[in-house]
Amino acid sequence: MNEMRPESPAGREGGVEPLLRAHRADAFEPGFAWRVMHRLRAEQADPVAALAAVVQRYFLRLAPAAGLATVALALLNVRAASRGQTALEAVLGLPPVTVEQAYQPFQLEPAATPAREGKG
Amino acid sequence: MHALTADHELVQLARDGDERAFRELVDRYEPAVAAVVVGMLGPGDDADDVGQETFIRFYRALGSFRGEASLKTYLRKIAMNLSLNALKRRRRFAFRFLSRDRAGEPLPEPPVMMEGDPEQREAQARVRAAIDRLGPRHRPVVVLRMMDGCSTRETAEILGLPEGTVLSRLSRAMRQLEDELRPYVEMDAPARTEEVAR
Repeated sequence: MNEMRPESPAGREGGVEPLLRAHRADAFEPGFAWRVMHRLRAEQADPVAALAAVVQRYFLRLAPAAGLATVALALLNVRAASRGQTALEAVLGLPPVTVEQAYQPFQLEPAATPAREGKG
Repeated sequence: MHALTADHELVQLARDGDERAFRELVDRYEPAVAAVVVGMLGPGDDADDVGQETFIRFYRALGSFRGEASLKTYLRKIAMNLSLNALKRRRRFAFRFLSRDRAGEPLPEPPVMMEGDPEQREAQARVRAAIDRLGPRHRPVVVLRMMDGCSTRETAEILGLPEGTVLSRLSRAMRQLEDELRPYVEMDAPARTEEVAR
């Protein structure tokens, strides 16, 4: 703390620096360390708070990967949509559904019904 | 047992789950954290809460603390960030719940019993009020540099600012404080002259 302080009015006698220094707090209310340890134990015992702490701790590491994955998925969806099929449909091998197909009356598969009748 | 143990050893012990080691770190650095938090927020429950949160955050970050900065600087940084967040919350509260005429004023802290004679108490209250009137850019500089006694470089490191910016903000803030506290500075001057003569 021996450096020159041209900016400080302490250089001029009668500045506010001594007043400010006198106002410096050296401690919290008595029992501060106990309160910290108590809160820490309570937090460790609470699974939700523990999970929140883990998420907070790993957020910065996971956020870029999650962001990249989101962008990649969005691009894939846009590309697949231009081909008339979403990425999920392509992965699951689902046939594209048109509006006409969606509004057709529901029918059971014709082959299944006679076979069951034949057995009976 | 832990009183003479070096910080990095205590950190390692705390990382391994030694509660007593962590408690020793809390005891050791309570003054540094209190100086920042109480300086920024004033005494009261709010400051105590932010002080506790500072050490909880530090505990959570024990695994990633590599000791590149000194522990004191590291804790001061956490304390300062949390104090600034608390100030923002206070301002939001003032904006939402107080009338528009008073929204710009700092929220008064609940009265705290201060030791000393009435004159000294009044001077302390005036200093606190003057600090509370400093804006969020100037208050941290005054608290770290003038109240806590950090060097300009350390202040700049904690606040993530260039040293020149710290100096210019400090100069402006000190001018404002001098204007507001002039009567008390003059009142205090004879006592200091006596002190110097001794």
